[in-house]
Amino acid sequence: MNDLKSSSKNNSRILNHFFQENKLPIIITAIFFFSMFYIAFVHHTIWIEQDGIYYYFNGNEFFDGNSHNIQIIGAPIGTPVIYAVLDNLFGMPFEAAKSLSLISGTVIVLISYFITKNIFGVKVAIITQIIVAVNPKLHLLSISALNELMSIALIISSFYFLTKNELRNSDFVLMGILLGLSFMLRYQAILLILGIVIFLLIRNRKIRYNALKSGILILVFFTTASPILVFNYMTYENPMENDTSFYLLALFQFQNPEWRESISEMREEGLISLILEDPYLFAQNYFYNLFSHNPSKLFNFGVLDNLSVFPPIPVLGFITVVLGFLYAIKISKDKTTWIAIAAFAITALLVFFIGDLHQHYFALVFIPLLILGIFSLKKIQKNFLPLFIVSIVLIFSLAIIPAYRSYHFLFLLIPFSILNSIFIYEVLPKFVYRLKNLEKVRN
Amino acid sequence: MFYDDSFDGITSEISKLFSSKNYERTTVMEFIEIVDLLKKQSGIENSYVMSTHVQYAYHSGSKFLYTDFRAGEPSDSLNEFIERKNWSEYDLYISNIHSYPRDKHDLLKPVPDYVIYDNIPYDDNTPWYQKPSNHADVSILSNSDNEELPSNFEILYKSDQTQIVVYKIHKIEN
Repeated sequence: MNDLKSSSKNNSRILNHFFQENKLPIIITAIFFFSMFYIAFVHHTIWIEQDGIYYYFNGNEFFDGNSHNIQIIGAPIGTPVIYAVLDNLFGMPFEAAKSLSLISGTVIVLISYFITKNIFGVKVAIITQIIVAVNPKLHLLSISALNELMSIALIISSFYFLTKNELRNSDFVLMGILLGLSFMLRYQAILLILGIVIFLLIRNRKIRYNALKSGILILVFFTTASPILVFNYMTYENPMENDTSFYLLALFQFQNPEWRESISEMREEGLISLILEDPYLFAQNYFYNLFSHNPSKLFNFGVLDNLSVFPPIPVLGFITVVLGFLYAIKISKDKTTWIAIAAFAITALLVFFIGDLHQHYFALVFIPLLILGIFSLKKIQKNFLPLFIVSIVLIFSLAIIPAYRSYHFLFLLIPFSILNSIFIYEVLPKFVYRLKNLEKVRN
Repeated sequence: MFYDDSFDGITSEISKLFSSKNYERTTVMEFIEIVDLLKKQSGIENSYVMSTHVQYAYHSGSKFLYTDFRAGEPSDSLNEFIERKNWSEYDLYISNIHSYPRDKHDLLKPVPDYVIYDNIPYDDNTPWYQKPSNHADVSILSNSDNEELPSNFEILYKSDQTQIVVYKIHKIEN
């Protein structure tokens, strides 16, 4: 009895300490929560989100024993099952789905502070948290009954452990659990595993040690995700059941009638077979997605639906991210600058002579920056590096499909918001200081 | 699509945010009217509503038959179209996997009891693939006064503002 009392006292002391230490981020999170709660439950009163209803119906089919008649598109059965269970418990599927989104959005706002604090300390963390909290796409998803934010919140929560100064085995276990849970809601989490493994294998020369950590991560990930893998295999004879051909047919910019006909008959085939059906056409679409369509959804190169920190103003959000990035890699006039200039020249030649400027314009900036980043890996802060590598892996792998909504990139909100904060906290003041000095010299 | 998307300036938008939900004649109003109308139909829970939007079926408690109204053969009659007689295998598949109950293996072969037609023009900014126009022409559905409409199509609702038309489909006696 005494043990229980002292443990509950201890817990409340820890909680009190946590509140005292983190007043501002908690206030920001609370403001976000109550504002979104008001919109979600006072103004958004009719379930109009088609995708949310689509997944809810899939959940009903699951419990009606009709899973074999579902064609899973875009996401496994995880969220549909949650929606249907909550509907059975509370009888309000719309409210339940909105609540899940609201909680997930709130978790993202709170955890964004702690992720950034891990890397750049309190001040940059607060700025990052504010940037995340005012993002319109996060607002939209936090009030919507959609199968989006829960999986993203789990992915972003894993970033907290990924950005710790010292990565222990327990951190890999927790990352594996969070990403495994996220995988049960959306398959994208597996790309994060790929990114983290790449990071582990290149971070230093302790190959065996890092391979062991990768093994722990992968093992925990697949163990956590096993219910979905087993269900998919038993129901559809494919552990990663998904109709990839649907998205290729529905979204690819470049198509021809022969290709459409073949792909529409390849519903049971995997991505590799779909690519091999016409590798040239796939490459044409892939590079268009990578160097034009998807970047526009990230930074507004003429598309209003975007993730930029200044959504209505084209390009500006990209400039602030780039300046933050150049600061983070501690750019200086050494050989890497020349390598980046050479990369720009080669990319420009390739775009002008082989590619198409209209379709591949982003390569002119992205490739030199990427090369610059790769040659500056040692200069990037140790625990910022995993976010950098994971982001690059995501950008390259998500280009398989043209993102039709900018919030499909929402997990990139954290690294981009951090770079924007670096711009605001580090670059902008130096720029203003230099401008003032210049004025003084002139006067 | 169902909430009023008009932007009337920042001040007006802020005051709208704190005003009570007093919808004027907006798309959401029409949506509620259509749902209420469907709910009143006898046996709605066992009826199929054919539409592009699943929301009508969810809120009225009916079954759902998905269509984007761009399928079938150009020579198809309206009845052939709603019975999905000449739809391509792929169009049928897409319809079946988005309908409710789900019917991936095309076992149910439902015929709609209600059709909600809202001819939304293609948005040039959408990345979704735009089908070529060699499909059944069902645009006559937007004109409920047209004499060429089959006699088993009974009009239940028509909006002059959004052009949404709701038909009840009577079974044709053989």
